[in-house]
Amino acid sequence: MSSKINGQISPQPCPHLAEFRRTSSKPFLSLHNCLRIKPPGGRASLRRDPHEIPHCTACGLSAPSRLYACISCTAVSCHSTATGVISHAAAHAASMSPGHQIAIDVDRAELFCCACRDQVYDRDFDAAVVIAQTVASTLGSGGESKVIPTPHPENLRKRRRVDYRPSTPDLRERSLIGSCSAPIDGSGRSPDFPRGLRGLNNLGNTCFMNSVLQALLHTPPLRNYFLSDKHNRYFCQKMNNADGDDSAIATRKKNGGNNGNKNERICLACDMDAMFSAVFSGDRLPYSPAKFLYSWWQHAAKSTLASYEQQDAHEFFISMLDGIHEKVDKDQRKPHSEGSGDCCIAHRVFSGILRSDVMCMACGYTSTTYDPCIDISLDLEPNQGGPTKIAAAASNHSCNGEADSSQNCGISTLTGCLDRFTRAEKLGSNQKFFCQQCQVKQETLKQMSIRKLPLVSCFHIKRFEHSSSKKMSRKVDRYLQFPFSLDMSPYLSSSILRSRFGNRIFPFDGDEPDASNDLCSEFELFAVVTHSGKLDAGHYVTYLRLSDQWYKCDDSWVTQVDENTVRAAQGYMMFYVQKMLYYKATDKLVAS
Amino acid sequence: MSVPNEENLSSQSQLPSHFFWDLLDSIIVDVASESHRVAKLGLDANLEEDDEELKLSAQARVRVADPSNNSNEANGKYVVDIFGQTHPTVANEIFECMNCGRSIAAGRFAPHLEKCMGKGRKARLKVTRSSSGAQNQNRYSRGGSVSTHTNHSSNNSSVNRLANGNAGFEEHSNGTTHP
Repeated sequence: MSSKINGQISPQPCPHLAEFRRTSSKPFLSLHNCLRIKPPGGRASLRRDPHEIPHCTACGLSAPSRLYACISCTAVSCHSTATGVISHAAAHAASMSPGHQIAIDVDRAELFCCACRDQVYDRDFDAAVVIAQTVASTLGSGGESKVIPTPHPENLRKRRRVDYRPSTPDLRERSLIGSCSAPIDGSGRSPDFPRGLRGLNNLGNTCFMNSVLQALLHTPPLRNYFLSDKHNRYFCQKMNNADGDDSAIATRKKNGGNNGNKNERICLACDMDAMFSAVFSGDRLPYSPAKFLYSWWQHAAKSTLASYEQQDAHEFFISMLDGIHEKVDKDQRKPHSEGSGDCCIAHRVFSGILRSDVMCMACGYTSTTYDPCIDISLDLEPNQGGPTKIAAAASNHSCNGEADSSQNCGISTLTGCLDRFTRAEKLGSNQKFFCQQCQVKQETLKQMSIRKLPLVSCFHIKRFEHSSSKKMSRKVDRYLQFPFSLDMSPYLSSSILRSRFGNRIFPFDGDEPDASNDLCSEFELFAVVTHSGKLDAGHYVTYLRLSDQWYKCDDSWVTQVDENTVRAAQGYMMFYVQKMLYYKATDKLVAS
Repeated sequence: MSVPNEENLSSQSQLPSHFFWDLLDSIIVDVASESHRVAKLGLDANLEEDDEELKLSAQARVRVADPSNNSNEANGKYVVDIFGQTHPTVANEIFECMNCGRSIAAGRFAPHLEKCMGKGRKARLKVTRSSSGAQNQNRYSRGGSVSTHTNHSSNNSSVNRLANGNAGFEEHSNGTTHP
């Protein structure tokens, strides 16, 4: 019935609109002369001259709230049925020769078919409105348009999409595999449980580390990278020993004492490689990530921002990705482009790009910046009086129907948090921003959106509140609902921009011509890190989803759980992977 | 302006009400028009899935809350894992410390390493006699404990810009990347 372009349905025109388009040479071309845009929101209305007060040609009234301007003859009619059976607008459409059925709602700049009595949509009309809105908000600055597709941000290079092909080793590779490796599982039959499922020993209050490691060990792109030998620890260490002897000696001196391996430099990626090998080996006794802890502590101690005393799983996550980045990035001496993920595997997997728009409330001028981000930290909504009671009662009823049922039930949801994250936020009057167009400091509206989605999205819920006034911290135990399948398209820059311009049909920033954009925004949950207990005495546990079966990883204990357990758990960090990748990975039990 | 008589009075008193209904009508049409557009352009495609997930979540919480359902853990203690193994509270795998070479049990490795690498001692030296409370707490109740997580996300390394609630704004005009 309708075609889908840019992830958006382009509805079929009604016969009257189609007829109009066919018969007029350049429909809506002169429209921009009559479109008046009201800053800062950019609401468009139709006026022949700026101070015109439109009134119905038939009854002379301008009071009725809906006036329609016929696009063929610009006669304005109202919809009131006070004087007859049909409204003036319908009468105009019927009485004039064919071609007068389509009219424009003068206050809303929407097309209306008086014959079909329904609002209709047209790509060219919408384009004219968007262009008028853009021009209005950038008037005086040289007309640099932020809405019309601009060159991509620097660090977003478009990668050519390739189709998935299973690996087929040639003769030479096969003989190499045969001579240099041995099958893990002698019997050759598929194991009862997925490979890579293995407990991690708690080395002394290290569950914060174990929980994150479990999630990373089963992050598909990361797992594939290491299991494909993309970072060979023997090769890497050999390379390290070859160059930079000074630094090796310095490292040894710093560590003090007797290093077991003399010339070894810290490389978290190497330690990860060793861990992947061990965990996926088929051995089911719990693994002790001692070497990893040792390396990470040294890395954490170096940086002024995090020390080994940090026991927060999320901070550990950030710190260790930074460790992988630092080491790998330094080696390759490549340009430091985090957003595109060219620098290291950590960024390749987790890094996305956020777009920040700051809009002047007076003139509508918007300034835009892009920043890479490795995860998204979300605030739980502020505590409204008595939500716990409402939530408890509501959980016994199924909340269905309206879109805002979560508000009705008082349950916090991940999508609700994301809505708040991408909501336009009025910055206080004490945070005025210098507007290039107005040349004065003005109040502004700030809005975040996701310019580029990472392969793996990590959502971190800020459950630990620090109150500087009370000099204490507390943990927020409130339940947060999170979906197993997540569509991120409403939070993309293209969607956010589109809604800012009234959801017009127009290719906004980030829209790509190829239809595969749709699939890229669908994500599947594969790991949940939960925290239970108090701020200073708690425990982390990770739930893993392998082949659509959920497992609970509690340090050395790996048990199978029902999905209900996971749904009801208190999520602290949720890991989602792009469905396109995920789909392939769940075909078999054996890690592919 | 006009001679006040009954008709005028009644129509004047109706004016506010008239304006109100006009305004309300206008607002309703605004919402209707916007919703119509969203529905027609397929921008609300995920409503049903969202509702489904909410329902599943609510059901799950009910089931989990019911004590008769938790068969996996007897009194919160594990019996066997999926591979049929059991594990002691303190991991007893023995290996060599990579710093000093001594043989350490896995479950006691972290505290050992802390002292071995000299971090524990350093921390102890920093603490003055007066600040007894907080620092000592940090050292001994390290639990799977969680450090205070402030809202100042910008404290984290330059690698990640946790964007929500970032302090201050940018004063660029073009879409230049942030250094």
